[in-house]
Amino acid sequence: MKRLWILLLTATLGVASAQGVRSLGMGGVTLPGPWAAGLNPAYAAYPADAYGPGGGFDLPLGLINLALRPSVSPLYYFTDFATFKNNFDVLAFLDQVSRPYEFMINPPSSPDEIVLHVSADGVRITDGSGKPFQLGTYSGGKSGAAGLPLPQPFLLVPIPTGLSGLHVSLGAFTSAGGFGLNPSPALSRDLASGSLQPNTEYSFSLTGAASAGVNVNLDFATPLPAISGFEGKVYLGGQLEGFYGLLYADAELTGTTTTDDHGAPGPVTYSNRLFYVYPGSGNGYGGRLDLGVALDYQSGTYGLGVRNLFGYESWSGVLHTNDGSGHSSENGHTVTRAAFDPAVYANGAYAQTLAGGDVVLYGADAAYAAGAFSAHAGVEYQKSIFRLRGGLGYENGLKLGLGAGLKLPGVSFDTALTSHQAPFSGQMVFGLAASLGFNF
Amino acid sequence: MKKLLLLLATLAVLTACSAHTVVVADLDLLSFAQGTEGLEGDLTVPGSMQVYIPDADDNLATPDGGELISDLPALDELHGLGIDVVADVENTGSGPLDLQADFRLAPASDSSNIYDGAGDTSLTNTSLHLDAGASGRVHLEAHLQKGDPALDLVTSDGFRVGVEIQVSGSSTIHYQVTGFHVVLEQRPFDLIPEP
Repeated sequence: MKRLWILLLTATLGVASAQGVRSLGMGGVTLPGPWAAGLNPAYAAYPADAYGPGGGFDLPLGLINLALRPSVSPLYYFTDFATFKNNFDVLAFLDQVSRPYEFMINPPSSPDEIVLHVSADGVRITDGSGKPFQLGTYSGGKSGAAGLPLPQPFLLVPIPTGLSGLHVSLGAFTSAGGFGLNPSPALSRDLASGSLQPNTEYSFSLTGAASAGVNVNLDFATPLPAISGFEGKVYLGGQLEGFYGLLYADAELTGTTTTDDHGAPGPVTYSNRLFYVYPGSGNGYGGRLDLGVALDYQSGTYGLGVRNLFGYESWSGVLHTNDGSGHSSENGHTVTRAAFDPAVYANGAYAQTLAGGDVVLYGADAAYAAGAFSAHAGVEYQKSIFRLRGGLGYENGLKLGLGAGLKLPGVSFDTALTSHQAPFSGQMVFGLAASLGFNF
Repeated sequence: MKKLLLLLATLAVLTACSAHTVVVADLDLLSFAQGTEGLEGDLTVPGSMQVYIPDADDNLATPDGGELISDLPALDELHGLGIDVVADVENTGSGPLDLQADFRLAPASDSSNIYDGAGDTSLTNTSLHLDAGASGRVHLEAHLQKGDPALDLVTSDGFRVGVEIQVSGSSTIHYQVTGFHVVLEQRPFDLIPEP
């Protein structure tokens, strides 16, 4: 039963990364509209058609790779072991499973060679071409329990309230983060300098965390009355988000060694820590407060949202530890966080109508959360039923987007060529995405 | 050194696990030798003599167990093994000299003599003629790939390596070993069991 829940958790991780195809084609920009209410609650009261319809149904093109491509699909392990053993790449698999709505044209590839040059002077690590192997590239974020932001909802279903401006929605969330290999500062420092120091403890940790559950959102957003002498229109919104957590896993595996008087490492001991929650073993709950404002002025719209002005979460589950000397324990454990941990999001869009009726739409956004910064800028050219898009973005690396769409009465089709930098290797990976929308 | 390799190999495997990734450990054995004893010196050749490098028994002229390499992960599943040994020699006497160098590979259990052909094998050899006053370089290089019978000598217990240099002639010689590398190649996916 426990394995089944872990499989379910793994299978749902990628959904959290889904992005609208229109947005991907514009370099990742999120345009003003109700679809951005999760980032800025004021947009819950914003007209949906101001900048065109939101996304349609994203087609899970990534499943093609996950099912068929030998370098990406783990299924060959069970169906054709030789193919698996000669082709599979964990990096390609992880990158594709985290983007199920993109068909990756060139999945990232692990290096062909990792060379450890071992001499009395120390150890250098290079790739097959002799370039230094940067351990920093492989470092991940903070461990999950302390580093995961409060979960973001997806698949929100609105519940009619009959009250103007008040929106209630039910949804679900998955969240994953903190994946990476974290050498201790001493190990990074001394490997870079070329030699290990005597009587020093070195360690490296593999970390990762994920969670899933259901959300209830209570959002109040409304346009303010017209202000005399001001041509613009202001929207305000606030949101209370509550969640009930069903699945949670936060793991850390650490290898440790201590050098002797001559700088030679002693035995490596491995310790691990796993905190997990699944139905029957515990649960989680919490909530947070978000506020936002949006402004329509002339042909532009500008918004500022601050999520998680105050957040609280608590997870009760099982903590499994192994100290590396054969002593392991498994006990009930509770992780609680209450914090002012704001995530700031700003976006804007401007529509320019050309002679002849064609429209050029410009959009940009920027976000800051938990020490991570991201930004996007894109443009969409609208001519009759045709849409052409392009943009640039930054999310842990450069992101490019090109897109095209057809907007027919009642139905729309969008496709995008997008790119991102693969984790670990930094390789530029290109992907194709497509969506089908119905607008009646 | 060997435990460090274990640590780093584990680290490397964790960071890049693909079917085509090969983790290579390039061991510079020369750098771990104490001082220059046995690695550089002058010898008087009285017609014929042999020297054995590295010198495991404090007598350069007697065969021994060579260098034992052990305590490394999954040695019995190596994807490849390479060796590269370089020695500069100079005939400093008045007569011509002939050198023959032979690189030996032996199982870890062959602790007394890895040069007698009992359980051990020659990976590569070379020869060199030096006239009086001439200099030259002895270069031994070999690479074994998975499937090569010689790799069967490498087991989870480790393996031994060494070089025998046979000199004939009546002269004096100055020698210096300038490189002694053993390269181990491991493909992490070779360790994945079949379902």
